Amino acid sequence: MAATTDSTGTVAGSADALFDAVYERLKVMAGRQLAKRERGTLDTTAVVHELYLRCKTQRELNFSHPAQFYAYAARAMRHLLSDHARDRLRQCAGGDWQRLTLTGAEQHLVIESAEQALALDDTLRLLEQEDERAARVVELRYFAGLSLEQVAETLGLNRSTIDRDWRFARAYLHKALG
Amino acid sequence: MRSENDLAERSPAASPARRLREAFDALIDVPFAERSAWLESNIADDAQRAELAKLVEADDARGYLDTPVMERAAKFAADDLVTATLLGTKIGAFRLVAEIGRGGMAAVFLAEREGNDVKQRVAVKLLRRGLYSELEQRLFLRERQLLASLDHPNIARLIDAGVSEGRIPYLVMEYVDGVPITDYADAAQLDIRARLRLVIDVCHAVEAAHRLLIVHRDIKPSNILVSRDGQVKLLDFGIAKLVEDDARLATATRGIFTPEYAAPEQLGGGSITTATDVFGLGVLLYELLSGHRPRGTPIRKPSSIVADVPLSSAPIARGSAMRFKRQLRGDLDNVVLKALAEEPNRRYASASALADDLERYLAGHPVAAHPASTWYRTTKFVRRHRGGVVVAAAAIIAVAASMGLVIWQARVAHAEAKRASAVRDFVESIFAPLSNGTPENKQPRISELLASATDRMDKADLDAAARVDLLQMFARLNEKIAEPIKAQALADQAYDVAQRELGPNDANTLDALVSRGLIALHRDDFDTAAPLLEEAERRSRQVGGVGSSLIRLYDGLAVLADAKGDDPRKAVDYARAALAQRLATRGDDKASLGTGYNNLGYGLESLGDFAGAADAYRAAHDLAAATSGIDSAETAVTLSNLGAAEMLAGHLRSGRGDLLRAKALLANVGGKQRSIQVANAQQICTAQMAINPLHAEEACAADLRMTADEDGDTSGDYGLALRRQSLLALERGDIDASRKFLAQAAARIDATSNAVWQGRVDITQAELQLLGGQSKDAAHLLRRGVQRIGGSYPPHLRNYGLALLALACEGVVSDDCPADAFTVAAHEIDTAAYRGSAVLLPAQTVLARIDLQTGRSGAAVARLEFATTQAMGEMDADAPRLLEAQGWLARAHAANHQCAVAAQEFATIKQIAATEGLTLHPFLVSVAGAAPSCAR
Repeated sequence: MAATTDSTGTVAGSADALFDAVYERLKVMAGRQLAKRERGTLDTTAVVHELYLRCKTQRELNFSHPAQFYAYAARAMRHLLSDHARDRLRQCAGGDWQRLTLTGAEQHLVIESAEQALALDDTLRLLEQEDERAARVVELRYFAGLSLEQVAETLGLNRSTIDRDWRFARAYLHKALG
Repeated sequence: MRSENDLAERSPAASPARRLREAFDALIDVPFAERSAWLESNIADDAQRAELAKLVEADDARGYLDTPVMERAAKFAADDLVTATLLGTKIGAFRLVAEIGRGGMAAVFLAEREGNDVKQRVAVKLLRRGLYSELEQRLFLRERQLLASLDHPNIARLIDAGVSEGRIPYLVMEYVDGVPITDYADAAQLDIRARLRLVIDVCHAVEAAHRLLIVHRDIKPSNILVSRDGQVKLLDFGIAKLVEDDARLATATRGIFTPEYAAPEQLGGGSITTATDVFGLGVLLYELLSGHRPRGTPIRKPSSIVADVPLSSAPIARGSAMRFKRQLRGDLDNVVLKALAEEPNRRYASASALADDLERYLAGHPVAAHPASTWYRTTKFVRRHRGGVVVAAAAIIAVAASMGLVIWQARVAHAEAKRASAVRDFVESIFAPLSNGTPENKQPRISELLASATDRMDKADLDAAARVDLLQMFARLNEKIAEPIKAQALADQAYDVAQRELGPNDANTLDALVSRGLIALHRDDFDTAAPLLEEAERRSRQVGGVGSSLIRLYDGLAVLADAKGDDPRKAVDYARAALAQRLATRGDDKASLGTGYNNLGYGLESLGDFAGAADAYRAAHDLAAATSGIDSAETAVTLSNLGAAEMLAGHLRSGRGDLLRAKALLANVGGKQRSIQVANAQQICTAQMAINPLHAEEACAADLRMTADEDGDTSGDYGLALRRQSLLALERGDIDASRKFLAQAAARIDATSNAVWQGRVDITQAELQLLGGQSKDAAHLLRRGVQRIGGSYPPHLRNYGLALLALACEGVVSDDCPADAFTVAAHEIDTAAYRGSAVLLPAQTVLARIDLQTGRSGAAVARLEFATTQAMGEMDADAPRLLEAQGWLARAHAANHQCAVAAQEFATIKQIAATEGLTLHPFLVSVAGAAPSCAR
């Protein structure tokens, strides 16, 4: 019973260990998917669901409720994207490592993608302050790959409420990210 | 113009963000063509209008979030990165001198510390990844501390670690000037014995790390160097964990991580344990002996490989192939294959166990690895001690399980091989009195052997860990021969020794602490057990624990949570944790799994998932029957549990059948199982009462008698048995007798301060009052009773209490009556996991009566049709509860204008009641008296 969620699915403070564990596992699984990307398409939902099934069947991690798991997984995926982006920016630009195999255009794309990912994180943080629930919907929908129907179930809210939250959040983020 | 004010007026405290959101929500409902007009007339502020316009524009367009996150991540995921010329730059206090290795996750440099006169040479490893999140930094630091504490002559030391000015995480390691172990062995033309000696050194080094709970994860020849003077050095201990995700990525992309060296659980994404390294050691051994890496499933014996390959590529090229083959065949093949077992729990329990076996092989002793290892050891044992052992076989068998456990634990706890054999010798010496050909009738009793062994232990040459193990074994054996006080004293002693000699963070100390808690728990001394087990759990979180300790700890915590009853989910969680731990550490060890399923069944029962519990008990029963035999106590206990769960799940008859079978088994098992027999008898009373109280007299009399014998006639347990008598009398329609028994029950139960039991008395008391029409007092008792019972097992009592409370409160205004009493009761009952169970019939009847009183005859019909259908085959046709429910169903049909059905039902009930003499039964007088008028 390492962690609990309140009614809105917010991750409570005592949950470090559980979050860490989810983050670590997700990182490995996402890494594996990325490594195979030439052979298949990338599927956020598949990664998160595989993790969910593994947590459930192996019972290593105890979640009081699937909603809690998805809140954690979404947050972990969000961290993962930002951490990867920071890594790449450092390696591409200011750090001591140089990329020799990529052309200038490719390198530009990498840098731009990484910067966009960080911008998304920043904007999402702004949205959190303005409309917390909408930000949560983005996390579950985008980062955990849940359908809006599942998001509604997870947060225990009406589908129509979630639809509107998503629409607003999406417009908000797209406007900011250009 | 006014509309923005309108928005503001509607929510005067709304923030700008709130207003923006509200305006957006309103705007997207406006048809596209009318939007700009809407904006003009509703939003006065120019800036806000522009912002909203952009928002709806973004709403229509594609954007960032339309590409899945994984595709986004792929754009800047792992790619081929190479180092720039870092040579000559400084990392920490060291200047990089030469690049000596490079991989996907790191580049390794030879570096030197300048200054002083002596140049210190080190290996500096630069990691490819940053450590941005707090989590990663925390993990990195924690690992660094752990690795820095690893000080072993055969392990390359971690000298420093940190993050460079250029923000590259780095590790500084002892520089080893040597060659990979396989190259060394071939170059020096080592024979098999010399190769084994090298591997034994590696095993001991790995073992030393394992004792600190550091797993290498990547044992392979290139990580094991041998210096010119022949000393083995392991590199990169624990480093794989620091760079885990990149390492795994590398497996798939670059192949720098040689899959042949990875254990199955690494490839399959399973959990990485010390067993992973044992596999790595197995691969190393295989390669050193055969010149090849193991391949295929199942892996071929090394001896068969040697003959298949040309001599030139065999590692020991100058020897005779036939001689190697002979040497490898048999024991050595078995050792290698045991280390390489696919399932982690089938491998050697530790690196030192592998070393131990290799030593035995070198010394010409039988090895532990054998296709049928347990049986193998026993036959050797018997062969050496023929005579004494044969007559004492029964005693051996009785103790063998515990002995095996001690030896097993000695290995798992990563003790030195020495310690394992010291324990083995001592345990064998316990049986010395049996081996002198003493006639059977003069053989010492087990209790005498134990007592003398305990005394002699102080003089034996055993280290603290072994002493702790043995004291615990004696404690367990004393429990087995029903000496709980001695057991507790020995467990306390074991803990004291462990705490003093090994320190609070040692795995053995934790295990001893768990034993203390468990023995108290087995004595039902929850107040002693709870703090001990909770402390053990805290420590296990801090310092980790050995699988066997954790299994016992979680078992205990599950039982404790179940006994406390305040959070049934916790019991299930612990039981699942224990089961998972069992599967992880013992695999298909049937006896252990059986216990796991049994405990899980307990937990699920507490949650009201009786069907799930029955499944778990069934699994436990089958496992117990397979291991302990069909007529063993374990089998009987699981059968009894299965019966009780089936009963609560609503399968009254098969439940009773299993309980009766358990009774028969227990009668044959005899002696020590008295308390189980009593518990089983109590369940039989309850089951029989549920099926038909008119025929339960005998079963419940046995229950009362046996409970009195076992617990004394002033005990709380006897109070509960008296309450069952009260229920039986009530169900048979004898209200006066019921009251009398209940008063006797209450006197005993009140003295126990057990709130749950008191709650049960409250509810029965209230039911009696309700039959006498005193609904106001009943409401008070029921509210208190429901509170007292809480979420305790079994849950249907609480549900019955809630339903009765709703009935007592119908049309009554009182402090004891929640306004939503009916809704609460109906909700709990309709959403219970065992909703269809026959044990809920009385509660359903009560709810239907309320439906009828409040004019919802349709709902009453539906509820009772459902409940009686479920109960019909399970209860006897003349069971008063069933007749009562059918009577109310008839009334409901009548009220619902289903007159023909109602009339038919009344006739049937009347006939049965008359035949069985139940016409005046208090359950039936109100329903079965005269059929109410019915009009279509």
